[in-house]
Amino acid sequence: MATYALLLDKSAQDSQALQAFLANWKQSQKLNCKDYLVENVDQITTICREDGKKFTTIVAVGDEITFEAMLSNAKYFDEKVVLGYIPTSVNTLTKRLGIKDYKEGCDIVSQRKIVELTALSVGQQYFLFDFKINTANSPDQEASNNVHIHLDKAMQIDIPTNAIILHNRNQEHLPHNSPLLLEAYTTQKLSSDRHNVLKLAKQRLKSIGADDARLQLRIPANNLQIESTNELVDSYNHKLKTPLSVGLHKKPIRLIVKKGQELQAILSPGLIS
Amino acid sequence: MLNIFKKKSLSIPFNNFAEYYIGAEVSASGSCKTDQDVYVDGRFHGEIITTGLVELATNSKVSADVQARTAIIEGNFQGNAKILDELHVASSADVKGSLQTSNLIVDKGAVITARIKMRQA
Repeated sequence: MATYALLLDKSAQDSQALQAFLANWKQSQKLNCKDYLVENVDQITTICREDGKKFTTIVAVGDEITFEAMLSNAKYFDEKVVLGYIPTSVNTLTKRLGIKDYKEGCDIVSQRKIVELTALSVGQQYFLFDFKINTANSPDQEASNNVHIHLDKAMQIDIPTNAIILHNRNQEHLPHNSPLLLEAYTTQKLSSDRHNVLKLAKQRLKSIGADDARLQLRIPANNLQIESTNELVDSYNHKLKTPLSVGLHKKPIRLIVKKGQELQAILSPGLIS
Repeated sequence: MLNIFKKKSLSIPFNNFAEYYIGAEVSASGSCKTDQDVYVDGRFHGEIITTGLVELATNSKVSADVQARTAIIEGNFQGNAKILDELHVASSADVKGSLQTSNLIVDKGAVITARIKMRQA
């Protein structure tokens, strides 16, 4: 029998309507379920480390960041564990998974339509779709953040960049051999903006919150190592230890998705658009 | 038919989604082997081997051995290029080294100091 863990973040705890709906849903589904009330991302790490192997299904309830934090701790889960998501707000993950609201999220979890994906490591964490890295601001704002990237394909790259996005392309499902796609952005203007590739890049800029940034680098890889003159931080502003290894470890992940939404969950946003 | 010194406006089939995109501020070196398109607007040193398109943009500075199906050189290129189908050297290009292709298009104003070997497609 499936044993469920629900990780309820602050937004989930604050919603009385959600609490009432969850109580009814768990009763109607006769779920063998344990609720964890989490206050912050670090607490999720502790829960996953201590109890991660006790459950067959772990569901993040709340904001996107809660799901991402759960996934970052994938190393603590059993290989057969199934992950799910019940949202409290509309975000990029709900769009990707096709979940309208928490009611539909519960319904989707009940149906247990599972796709197998591959989480990639970035430092000590894992990510399933995208992982954003920012370079911490230099005391001298005019100084550029120089990043050195060493790729598996014997390439070395130097780039002044403010933001890096790593895309997990789930190589099992695509006709290419590089599970990673790295994109880096700067605030420098390009010599030309006539290329379609830049128009596509502009769509992604909103996700990094840098309206004036420009795509500077897109490169596929199996794994890569990133060094930087300035500190690197993740989207929670947690410091990342350098040199930062990406894609060194892979972990199979079983994710509950909406029926008919399987392909959307697998493909990277760039390919969908 | 071999097509040399063709004078026409540039009509480049720009990439919709170049897998390898090296922007203007980027300096890269090493070996780039792929079956995807490669676009360089910055500096690159090493080798590029692809079955797709290589485009070296106006401000690019590339010192490399290049093998590709088609190539467009708009910037500064030094090295050996073996292009299977078509090599287009734009008016802004400055090319040094050796070029081998079956179709060569050179725009007016391009500077080429290279040994060119044409072969039948």
